[in-house]
Amino acid sequence: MTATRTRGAARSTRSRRASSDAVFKALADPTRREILSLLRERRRSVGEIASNFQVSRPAISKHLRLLRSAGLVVDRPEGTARMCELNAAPLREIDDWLEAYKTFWTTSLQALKAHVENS
Amino acid sequence: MATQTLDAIVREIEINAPAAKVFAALTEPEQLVQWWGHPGSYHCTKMEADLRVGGRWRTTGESKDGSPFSVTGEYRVIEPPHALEFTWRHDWGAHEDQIDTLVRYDIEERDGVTRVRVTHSGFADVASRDDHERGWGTVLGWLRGYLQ
Repeated sequence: MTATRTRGAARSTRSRRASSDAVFKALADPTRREILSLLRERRRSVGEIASNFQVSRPAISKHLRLLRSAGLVVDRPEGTARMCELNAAPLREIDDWLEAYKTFWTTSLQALKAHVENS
Repeated sequence: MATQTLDAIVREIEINAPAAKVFAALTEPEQLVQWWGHPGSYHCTKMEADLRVGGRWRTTGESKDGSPFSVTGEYRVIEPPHALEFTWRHDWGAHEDQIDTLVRYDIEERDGVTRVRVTHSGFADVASRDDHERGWGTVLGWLRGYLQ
């Protein structure tokens, strides 16, 4: 990573960063994390999810809306019920965002090694 | 050798030199400007460092197209020659990327070989700063496992 490449990358990935922010925000709440944990086991209905919490069902629905808008939860009709399912794919975007830093530090350590060993 | 989690970047390298020499290269401005950068891409031209806990550091340089860049921060841990920790904020990229993150060097010498590990963290804490919730790194961890 260089400063130049980072600038270019920042421009082309601005919208992706916006969606990464949505993912971070979605995860930054204990109830939403717990919902994801429940969905990690298997898909569940909204009612079933709500029955695991003390808070009201509308409150759970609100959390689910946020998780859906971040792309972490998707709805799947099953008979007459609407089932919620985990979709972990958006987390890749966060990983991609960090990729430039990974390259940067690998390069920097190699430069440090060359400097220290040759000076 | 490299390991990582979603909220931290960890990189390691082995250097055939004493730990003290490595620590000096990381902290002495006249040395840092010699290695920090890449010929033909970007290079660091100046470093100012107030090497004490709470002291500020600042590097400036030029990227490939000649445009200036800078990185600034504050020293948090200074334990020569084993550990160095400081905050990091660069002035390039999107505005929302210009945030305080944390960089830590762990330096360990054994049989004349020094292992240097750099950990760059704090991305997630910053991204969720409105909430100040911690502990979701675990969730990221298992979700990542689920992805793979």
